[in-house]
Amino acid sequence: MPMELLVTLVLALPIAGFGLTALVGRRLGTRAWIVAVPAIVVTWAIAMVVVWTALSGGFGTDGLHFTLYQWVPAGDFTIEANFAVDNLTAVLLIVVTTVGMLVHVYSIGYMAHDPGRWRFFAYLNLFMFSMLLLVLAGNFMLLFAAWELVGLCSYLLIGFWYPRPSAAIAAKKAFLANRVGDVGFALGIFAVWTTVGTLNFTDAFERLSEGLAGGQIEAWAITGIALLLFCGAVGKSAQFPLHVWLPDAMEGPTPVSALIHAATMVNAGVYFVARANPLFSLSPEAMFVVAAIGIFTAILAASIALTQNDIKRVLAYSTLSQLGYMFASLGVGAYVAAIFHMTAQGFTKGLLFLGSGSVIHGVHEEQDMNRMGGLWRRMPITHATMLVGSLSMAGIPPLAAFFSKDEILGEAFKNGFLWVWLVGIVVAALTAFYMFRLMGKTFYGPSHVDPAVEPHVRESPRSMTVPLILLAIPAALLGLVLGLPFGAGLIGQWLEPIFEEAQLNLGLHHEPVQILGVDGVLILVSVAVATAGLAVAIRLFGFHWPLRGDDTEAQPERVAALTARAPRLYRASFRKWWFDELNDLLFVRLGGRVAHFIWWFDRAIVDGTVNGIGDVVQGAGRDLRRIQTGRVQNYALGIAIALIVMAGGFLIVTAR
Amino acid sequence: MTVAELLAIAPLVFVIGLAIALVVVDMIRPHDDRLIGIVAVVGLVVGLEVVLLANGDGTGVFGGAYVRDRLTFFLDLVFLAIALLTILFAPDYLRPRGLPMAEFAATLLFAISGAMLIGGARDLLVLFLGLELLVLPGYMLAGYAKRDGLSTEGAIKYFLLGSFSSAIFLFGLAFTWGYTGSTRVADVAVALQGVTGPGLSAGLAIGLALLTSGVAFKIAAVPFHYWTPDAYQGSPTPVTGYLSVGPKVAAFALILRLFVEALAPLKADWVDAIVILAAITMTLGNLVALTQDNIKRMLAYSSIAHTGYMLVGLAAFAGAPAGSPAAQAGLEGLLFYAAAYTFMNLGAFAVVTALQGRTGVTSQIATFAGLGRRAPLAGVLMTLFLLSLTGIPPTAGFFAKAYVILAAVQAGGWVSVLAVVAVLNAAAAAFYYLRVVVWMYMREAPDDAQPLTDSWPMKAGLAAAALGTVLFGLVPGVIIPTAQAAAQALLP
Repeated sequence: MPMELLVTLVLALPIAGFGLTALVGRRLGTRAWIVAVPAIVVTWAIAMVVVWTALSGGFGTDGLHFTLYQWVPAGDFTIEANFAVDNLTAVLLIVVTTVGMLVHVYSIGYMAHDPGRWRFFAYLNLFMFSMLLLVLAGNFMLLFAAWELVGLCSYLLIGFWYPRPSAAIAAKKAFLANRVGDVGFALGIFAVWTTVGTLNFTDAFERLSEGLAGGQIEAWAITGIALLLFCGAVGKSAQFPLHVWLPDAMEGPTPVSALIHAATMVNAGVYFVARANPLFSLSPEAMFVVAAIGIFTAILAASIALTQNDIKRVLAYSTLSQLGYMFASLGVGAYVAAIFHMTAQGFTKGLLFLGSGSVIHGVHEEQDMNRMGGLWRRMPITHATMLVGSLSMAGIPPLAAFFSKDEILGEAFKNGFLWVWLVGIVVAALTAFYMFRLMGKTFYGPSHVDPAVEPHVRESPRSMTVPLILLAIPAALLGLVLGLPFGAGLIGQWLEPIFEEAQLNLGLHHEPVQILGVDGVLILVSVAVATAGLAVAIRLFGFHWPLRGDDTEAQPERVAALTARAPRLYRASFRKWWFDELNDLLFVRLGGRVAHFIWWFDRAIVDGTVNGIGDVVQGAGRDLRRIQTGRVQNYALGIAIALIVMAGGFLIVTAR
Repeated sequence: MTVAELLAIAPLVFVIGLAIALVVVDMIRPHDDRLIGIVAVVGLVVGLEVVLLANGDGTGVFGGAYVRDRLTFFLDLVFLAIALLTILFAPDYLRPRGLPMAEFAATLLFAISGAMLIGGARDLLVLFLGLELLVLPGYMLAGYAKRDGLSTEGAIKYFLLGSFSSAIFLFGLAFTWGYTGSTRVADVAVALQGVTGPGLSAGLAIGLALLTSGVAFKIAAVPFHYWTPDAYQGSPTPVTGYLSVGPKVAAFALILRLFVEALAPLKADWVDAIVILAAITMTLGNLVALTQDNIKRMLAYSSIAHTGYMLVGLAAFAGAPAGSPAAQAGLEGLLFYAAAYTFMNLGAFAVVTALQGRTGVTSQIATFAGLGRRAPLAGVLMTLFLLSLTGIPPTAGFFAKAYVILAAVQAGGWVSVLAVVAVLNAAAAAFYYLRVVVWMYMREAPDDAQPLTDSWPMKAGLAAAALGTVLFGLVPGVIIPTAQAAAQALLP
């Protein structure tokens, strides 16, 4: 029982924090965080106990399962509020609670001057609750509820500065894009229910795979269910073609971008596909779609990140691209690598976003990198921590994302997905390039900061820099701790039992890593391309060599020459391949037309037909009276016509 | 009459008595709205107690023409809740406009007694009697602001078309009687055993068409919905709230007694009509609601859409094989939906009423501008009700939709297509409900914005509606067993 109690507390504390802050937060003034932040710190501590127990084998391979109460008792349709904690959940708990806690602490400083801070902390607590519910849920229904709740929180927080029209629009965009995915997700859940009659994860996956083996369930049905559920993941994790909302979501406060739109919520799709691995692995077609969408998003987003000038947007596209990697990894059957990359990227991207927030704060709410530069002298801690994050993101050993990215690429190659590997290598080079373009434009070279602001630029307060330092530690060391030795690291020991069945379904088996053979070559190739991308970026945008003490100067004229050489490509990247314009045309303009058409249809055709027939019947010359009573008669006529149609229908149906 | 029989009709008699008592009180102390409010509210709370006391053990009264079973029990609770909520938030609208409270409350309770009569009717004529007792006071209420042209216009339209449809319905009853030789629900069901399918006599087919059209009007299903927007927009706001819930739930009670009990043997013949009605009702209701700028008109079209969702539950019953779990789940879903809809829709109307507490506030959606800032509590509650109407967990509305949709999926065949239509509709509906939320939180309030009223009955009404909306979503277990028992009472 004590463990069940602890898991319950992990959920109860954030929601209690939300309730309290929402009720009394306004009166707390500048100390609006006084409930919310301690609640999450305690949640983190409790979660760590749960994580420790899980990873040290305290719950066995199947994990801890328990039912809190019966949510829906409706005959044979029962849904329980049941929770499951296995090693996969535990890894997620580490990321969610740790980044969550640090973001909470960071927000104390970042939101100190915002009059709506109590609202901010209340929403943030609500988000933590929803996200934890999402990873702890033991059945589809509970997961779906949490899925919608995180979407709601994301909507509220993106639109936090709602008087800004761009924020309000971005919030709506995110919500709508998510809803599109959720329709598929909901249909997928219905399909699971009709096919196997249970929504419990363990039972449902078991019965689906037994049904397929026994021939009661067709293979196409499995593929259909998997793809419908995948729609939800595409929406939540912002994969092509629903990726458009994530960059705009950067309108929210930066801590939100770090927490929700980089480290946790956007990973929900990846988590879900990993959780549903017994289902997805039954359908090679679905796996192929997952891999294809993933790797396409990876290269698409990376190509856009090359030319963006808003510091947060570059990071947003980078997040998209890394999420694409994770889906590609899931699609090729490299589940452990996907979760590993998610963990590494959760910490690294959290760090980079918080760092960018610190920069934005430092230069007085400026986000355009063309108006930064040379900041490393003024903001040494922010610079050093972001450098660690960027190196990690670029895939330079021995930092965290190097290990995870390398594992993805290696597995893709070895599992026979050569095309995924090839595209992945290109993306790796692009990633290193745009990360160091960002570093160069922000921290090195001559300063382009507004002269009025320039003298006031200084390092951010301690509550912001301490979380940066704390996040830089996992961003630097996580890979060494979890990933070594290659192919047999801790992360593999934790997670492989969970994906055993999927590996079996896919016919993959775990081969020992040949560091002097194929694996060594693959590692060298990926490090080489990353270094190449990084080197080009350093040449073009400048760098400060800490040990030599001198600088590589930026070369804007060579950048200009390069972009002038391929103007079309540059424009395509800069305009984000015109996806926003396409959506505007398709949904806003055409969709608006359709809605208007239907309204017109009801008014003109439906009412019009009725009125029109009335006109004919009544004849002319009684206009005045028709205004008084005509419409009622026309309505009555409409009802009479409908009645006749219905009577005809009944007669035909019963006479056949 | 035995004690058991007296107890069985006690709730009905009590409500009629309460209505009369209100008229008497008004005669003794004219224009004392506060006293009327207290008598009505206390009376209704006692009424709920009487219903709980009378329970529902299946006692038949008047030779079996009226029955108090678990369904009657469930419906009586819903009807009394409707009356109570409406009476709690009505005074804030009526008082500033000089509309008398006593007649309003008495008329409303007479209508509710009609609804309660339908809920327990097991005879076709009693059903019709209850229906007329329900709708006649409804016409009066719609025209309650008699100096307001729009109110009168809406009432007359409602009255004329309502009478028309009542006639159609009665004609359908006559056909049914003609072919079965009985007006007793049980006897009709027995007489119809085995006559279903191809070769069903033309007379019965026409009877079914007439009955379906008649009830489709009462629940405002497309294409019998024409009266709804005009009547809803013209009526005083509390009346609109009542009209969007009371007569609708009562008409669904009529459907349960007539279609599910008496005409169940023919369900294979009428299921197609219900599937089609449900699909077009949801779709048209939602699509037209998208373009409305008047909150009452928008809620009118949205209530049409909710009729569609409730019909999905009925379709699940009719489409599933007799005795299957899906058939029962469909009915349970329908009943649960009715209860959830009562609270969330009346809650939304209560907020609209609070906004219109000062005369001169229009029903334009723009009156919601900045509400989240100027009246945070009302803003939060309105958001809750709208989220529930949208169907976002963990509110009652989510659960209600999930219930009927899952039942439809389980029923299989054509009915499961309805589930897809319902899901798509729910997604589309999010747009116009959330539009109000956008107005409340993302627009500045105009400088001349009127403050909201906050009398204690209004607060109590809002609290009750919010409690139901949250409770049914979070712990649906509090009501599902009652709904299950009610559904079981209908099935042989």
